[in-house]
Amino acid sequence: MEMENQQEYPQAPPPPNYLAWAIVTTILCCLPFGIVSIIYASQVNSKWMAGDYAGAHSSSKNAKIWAWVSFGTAFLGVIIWFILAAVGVAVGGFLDAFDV
Amino acid sequence: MKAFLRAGLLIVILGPAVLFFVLDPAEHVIFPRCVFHTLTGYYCPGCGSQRAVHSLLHLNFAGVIGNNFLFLPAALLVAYHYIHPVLNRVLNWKLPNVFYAKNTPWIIFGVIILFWILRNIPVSPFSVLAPE
Repeated sequence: MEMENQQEYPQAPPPPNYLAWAIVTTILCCLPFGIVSIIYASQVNSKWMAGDYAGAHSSSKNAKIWAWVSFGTAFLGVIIWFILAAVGVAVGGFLDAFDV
Repeated sequence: MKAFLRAGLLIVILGPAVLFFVLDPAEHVIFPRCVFHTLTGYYCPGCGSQRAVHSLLHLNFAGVIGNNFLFLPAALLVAYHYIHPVLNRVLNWKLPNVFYAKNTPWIIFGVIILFWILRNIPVSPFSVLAPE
């Protein structure tokens, strides 16, 4: 993980932009909330280079939050899917209901 | 604690990998459908990725590209992000930290949005971008 507790010097590395996680949740996973995270990632880079260090840190936080929202929604989707699957198997109508 | 976490991580990665290798997500109902696709009928940028993982584990690269055109570039880019600092340290290379370049997130954003739109156009040649 990148450093989080650094001082805000121009020559210091920028706060983490979580772009890797945004890409993972958008492309390798199944929900488009990662897009929001990518937008915040771009703000981290541009604000940092413009000297807006506080802004870069706040965008970093948002990038992280939205990467988690994306992951969390996908995870929740998986859980709900399995619950539906379990219920469906129990009543025996699952395959017909989902047209598989 | 760290060893415990690593073991957990290994199971979290290996378990699904075995599942994705043995079963074809296109044919088995245990693989969750994309919520976006289920709700809207349109493909999202991640649609086809489960089938792409299955294809990749079988080294069927045509299948990976056919199911999600951005899957390989995305995976390689993320892999590069985590491997390049190690290469720089061990081999003394000077590979750039691409993800922190000013325009990288915008370029990735643009590519993904373009991909998202194009793969939903049900006309050739765009239809090749839809999952197989």
